[in-house]
Amino acid sequence: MKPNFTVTAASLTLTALFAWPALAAGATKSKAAAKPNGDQILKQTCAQLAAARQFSFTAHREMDPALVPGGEVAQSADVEVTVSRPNKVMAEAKSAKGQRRLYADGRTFSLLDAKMNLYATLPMRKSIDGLVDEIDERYGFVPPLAEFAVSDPYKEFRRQASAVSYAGRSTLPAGFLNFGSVECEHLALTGKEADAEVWIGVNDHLFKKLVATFHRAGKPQVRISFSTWNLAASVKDSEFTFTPPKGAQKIPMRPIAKK
Amino acid sequence: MKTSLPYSLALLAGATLLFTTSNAGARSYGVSSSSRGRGTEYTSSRGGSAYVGPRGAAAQDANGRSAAVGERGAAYSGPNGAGAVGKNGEYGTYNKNTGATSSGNVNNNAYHSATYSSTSAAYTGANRVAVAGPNAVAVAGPNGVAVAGRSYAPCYPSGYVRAMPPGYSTAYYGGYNCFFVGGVYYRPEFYQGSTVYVVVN
Repeated sequence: MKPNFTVTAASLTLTALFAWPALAAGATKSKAAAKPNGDQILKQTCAQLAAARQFSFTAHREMDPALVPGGEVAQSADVEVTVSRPNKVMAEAKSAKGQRRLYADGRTFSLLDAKMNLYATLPMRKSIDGLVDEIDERYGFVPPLAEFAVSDPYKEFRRQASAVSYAGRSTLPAGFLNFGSVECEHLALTGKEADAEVWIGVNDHLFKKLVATFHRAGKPQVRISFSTWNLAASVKDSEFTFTPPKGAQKIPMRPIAKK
Repeated sequence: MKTSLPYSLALLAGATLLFTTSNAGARSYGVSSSSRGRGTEYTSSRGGSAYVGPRGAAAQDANGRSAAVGERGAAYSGPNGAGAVGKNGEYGTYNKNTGATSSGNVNNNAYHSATYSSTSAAYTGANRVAVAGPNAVAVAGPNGVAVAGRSYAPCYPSGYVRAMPPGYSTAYYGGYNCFFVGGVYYRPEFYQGSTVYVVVN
């Protein structure tokens, strides 16, 4: 029995010696395969948003002065957006300067300056995508956080970012004494006009934070911190229809100069 | 050293200069393509326009004459000719009537060179470049850029304020609902998503 044992032991040793590199390579491969794909994470998150028919979210947005039209001071606002696909959106931005509301009900687009009680209404029979494009091109601004309300947020992100990479997992501090901290997937987006960092919740796969740094003098930033998401919001159509407040004055909306 | 800058290149240089001072593309991360460092655009009721941006200045009149200055030089193009001056002093001109082109001597030692026509002049020096046309002058120097023109009364941002001075009252003036304070009437408008107040009188 002894010789048999020796042969068996030798076989095992040889097997281990020859098999080890292959096993090690396999382990490396699986380790590499296990590394998350940043683009896939972004795609999944955006797909979740795109699938939601009615949803709402709140966020705090800060824009450095160089990115604000008129640009004397930074713009810091609490933003609330409610969406009903394909063509209804209501957004409200509250800042130290005042309160601004934007309504699109599929037929008209209205903007209200609640502090000064001024409003403008324009006929705009368009989807949310068409509305965002037209307002940007014709009136020179983007409805707040519109990139998260369009029909295909992933396409919108990839239009702005030529590359998406996974930067790791990190914890975003939040809440009282950081008890509400959220574990996130951290993505890095590289683009022609701006680079961005995006934090997506590990558990709910929703956007938690976005910081975009523009390739301009002074490296101005847009910083967005999301506080709530409701992907199953119950919203009535009437919530998207603008009714002028009492005593409100209708004013024109000046198109930007054409090139 | 001689540098040839024929007609096509002169136009190309002009187009490049104009392009580099114009809108760069679509919106990014909620920032409109119209406000993303585009600088300020001026238009006139007579069909002219001028632009002052972070990288240069450009002007165009209603008759198709355009001039631009940027980091890489100055250029002019009009119905009868074109001229361009590079940052190193090379220049080229083209005359539509004669078909003649000329390329200039690079004046590296003198730190400046210039092109002139009956309607315009382009100049580049060690510290600044300038273009002058019949309706506009554009200058870029180490401390800034400027555009001035006979008929280029700025509509925005000059002529409006972003917040009403305190103590205003509402008034109907000039066919508009206005705010009135300190002897001045202001007409509210939305511009680029913000409320602005145009000085009426």
